[in-house]
Amino acid sequence: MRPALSMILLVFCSLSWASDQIPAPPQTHPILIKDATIHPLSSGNISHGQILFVDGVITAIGKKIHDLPDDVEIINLKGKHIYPGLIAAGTTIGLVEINAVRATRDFTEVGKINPNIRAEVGYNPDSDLIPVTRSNGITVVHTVPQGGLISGMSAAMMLDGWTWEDATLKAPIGLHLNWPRMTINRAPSITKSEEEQKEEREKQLRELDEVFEKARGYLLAKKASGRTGIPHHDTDLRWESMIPILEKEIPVFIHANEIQQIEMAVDWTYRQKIKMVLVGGKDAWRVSDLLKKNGIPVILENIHSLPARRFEDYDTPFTTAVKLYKAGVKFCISASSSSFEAPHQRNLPYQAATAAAYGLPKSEALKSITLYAAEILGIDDQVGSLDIGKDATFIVTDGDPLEITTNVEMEFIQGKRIDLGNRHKTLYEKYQVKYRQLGIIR
Amino acid sequence: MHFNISLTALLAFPKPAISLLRFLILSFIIPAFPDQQNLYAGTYVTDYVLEGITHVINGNYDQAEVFWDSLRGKEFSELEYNFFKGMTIDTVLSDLRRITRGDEFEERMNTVIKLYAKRSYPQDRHFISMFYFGSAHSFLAIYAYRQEIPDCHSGRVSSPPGNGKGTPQTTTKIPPRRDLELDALVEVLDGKRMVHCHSYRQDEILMLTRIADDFGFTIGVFQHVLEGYKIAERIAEHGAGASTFTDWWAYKIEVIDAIPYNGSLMHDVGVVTSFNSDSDELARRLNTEAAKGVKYGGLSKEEALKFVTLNPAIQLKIDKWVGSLEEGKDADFVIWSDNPLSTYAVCEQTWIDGINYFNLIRDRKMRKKIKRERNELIQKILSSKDNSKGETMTPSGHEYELSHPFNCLKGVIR
Repeated sequence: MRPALSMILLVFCSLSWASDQIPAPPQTHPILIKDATIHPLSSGNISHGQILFVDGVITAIGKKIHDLPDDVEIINLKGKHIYPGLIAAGTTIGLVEINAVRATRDFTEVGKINPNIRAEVGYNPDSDLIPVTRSNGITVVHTVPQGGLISGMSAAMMLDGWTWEDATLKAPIGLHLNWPRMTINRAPSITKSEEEQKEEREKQLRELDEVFEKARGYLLAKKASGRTGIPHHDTDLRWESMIPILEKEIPVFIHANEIQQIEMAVDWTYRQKIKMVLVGGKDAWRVSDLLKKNGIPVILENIHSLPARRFEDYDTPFTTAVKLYKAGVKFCISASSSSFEAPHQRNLPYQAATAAAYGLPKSEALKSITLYAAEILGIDDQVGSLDIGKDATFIVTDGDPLEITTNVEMEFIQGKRIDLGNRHKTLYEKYQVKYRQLGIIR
Repeated sequence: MHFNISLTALLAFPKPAISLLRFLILSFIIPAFPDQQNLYAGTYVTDYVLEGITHVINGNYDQAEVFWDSLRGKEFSELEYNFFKGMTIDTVLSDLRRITRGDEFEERMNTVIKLYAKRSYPQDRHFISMFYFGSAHSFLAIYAYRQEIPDCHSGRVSSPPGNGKGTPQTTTKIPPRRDLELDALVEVLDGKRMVHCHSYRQDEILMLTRIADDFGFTIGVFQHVLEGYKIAERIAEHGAGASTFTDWWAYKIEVIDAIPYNGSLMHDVGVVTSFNSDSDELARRLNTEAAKGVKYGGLSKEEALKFVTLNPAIQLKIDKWVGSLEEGKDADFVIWSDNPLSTYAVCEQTWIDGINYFNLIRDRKMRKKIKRERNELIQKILSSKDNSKGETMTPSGHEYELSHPFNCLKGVIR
């Protein structure tokens, strides 16, 4: 592309505006919070507990902490509750501002095979969606690219920071693969014949095999490159980015809901000898034995949805979580990762609450949007529970965060005190002033 | 408290006003129908379905609640049903313009619609008001049309024009050519047909209230009304209701200023406000949507519950039957396991007109029964020695199981 043209495109494509909230400075001195009920989630609750954190890391937690540093700031939070920050395990936050405006959509690259896409690089730390989301207790999001057969690499982002580098907690988290549709779509609106659909399915499955074959070949050639008699191998970014997948350092996240998709994906990853996480998983409860046997964790998406089939019980999506729990399948709960839902991630805790209303123990529901999400995303060394050595990333509430009427009153991400203001609060305050000026409200 | 039915075909209807179209929206209450079961289990007892948007003046709908059981073997005209006349109009430009609803939507549209969408008007927001004033379907035109009707039907004696000296003459005017579109709009001016307006931004809401004031009618309810909080005093003064999302925002450019405090702030300023779902899934959880009125803007719990019960009933003018538990009102109620504003609350029973349509215990029994029957059928297949291809069986008919006998008697709280 000619430089002039690319400049013009850059100007038109970078439609963005900044949120009013100012990213917090790093923690400058040790802070002790006392007299709050602490819910570490990795162990039992501590009433009138204390938590000490230094340089963004939890250094002590318990009923009474001795040996406090000299310059410690003590915050008394009597009657309040402390929980680990909530984790949204699948979203496009940072990659979309307004779903209906093309210039603000940065989550679907051209092409079907894009393993070299890195979500964190396109993350807009000034998005207005970020302060709105974090003000309801969500501190970390799993930002996922979408579209194609292989969409790209996802990243775990903290909801505060001046740049995408500041905000990145860990990247890459994993490779995202949209499993082909296995069933024949007979909806009247579908113009493709049964044969055409079958052919398309086979083609996509062959394509997946080919991609992994090529990546393996690349890895082999690269390892051998430079040895006597073996020529140098050029770097290919697509296959290069897949090395951590092939070496089982990070998993491939397979997006699939339907039973045949799940069965086939499990079989395929077994043959490919790679780590798999199932995302979506509407039918996961129907194949829970298979998932348990193969140790495949599930990011259960969108509890708040209608049953997948007309003959299913009305509460099927609500009870999927408890069924997985009883079957011993590792899972976490996520809201829908569709770009339309990105602005609505603040409602994540209520998805877990519905699972609890329909049988999942409350403590498990809470872990399904904190600790279990962290474990499945591979970030549990830093977040997900309140333990010594983990990040001081937590929220202070006036009650159970799974209840809508509960408010988040204070938030820390790596020890940084987060501004809980957002666009909505600003507009609310602004228009309250209008009605005060008119003498309608006090 | 509404959700939309999408009538894709209407998108291609090449006119900005389609008040000619009439929809009879029947809320069929079919006890064992899966979609209805989903709603009962979510305690949803009265639904309000709107004819689709995308036209400046949309079709009319005559809302009726019809009982499936009473429909059996009876002529439709014999039925007892709740009825009101309504009409939707739309001021949301992205819907009217049809081309700006996002790339995915655009891709799905066929070529004919695309061509039309680019050529249709309005394309700019300020033109919407001109449409109401200056087009063939404007309120000016309706006003003139209405003036003519009584003149010709009453055979009224009118004085001849001029200096008034001559003998008064009885004149019979030629009636105006009947225009079904304008007929419907005349009902709006006469206050006989309620107008619901799909709206997002404060400018369009303000514009429409002014036009309605000028022509002497009142907008029934502003739907979605996401910037209603910016102009709440005007909505209250005009006398319209507001039915809003609790917390959807940022999906289109016009809703970038939508805030979850919208409902509570409009309420504080004096607007009768309700929460709607616009979704058959969210419709099941309006109880916890109400809790967002407490969270954002600090409504009392009682007031928040009214946002999904009494207030929508008032807005739909059906509050003499439903919306609260009072003597003489319909026995429409829900039994909860917990405070309905709690996310842990589960609906245990749903009653409509004194009939128990959903019951958690009965539901569990039915599930067991279905499971048993399924197993029996599987066993029958497995134990069958007949390997030949069997004959095709036809189901004996729809058998919906209910614990009570069918009847048309409406249950009333006494």
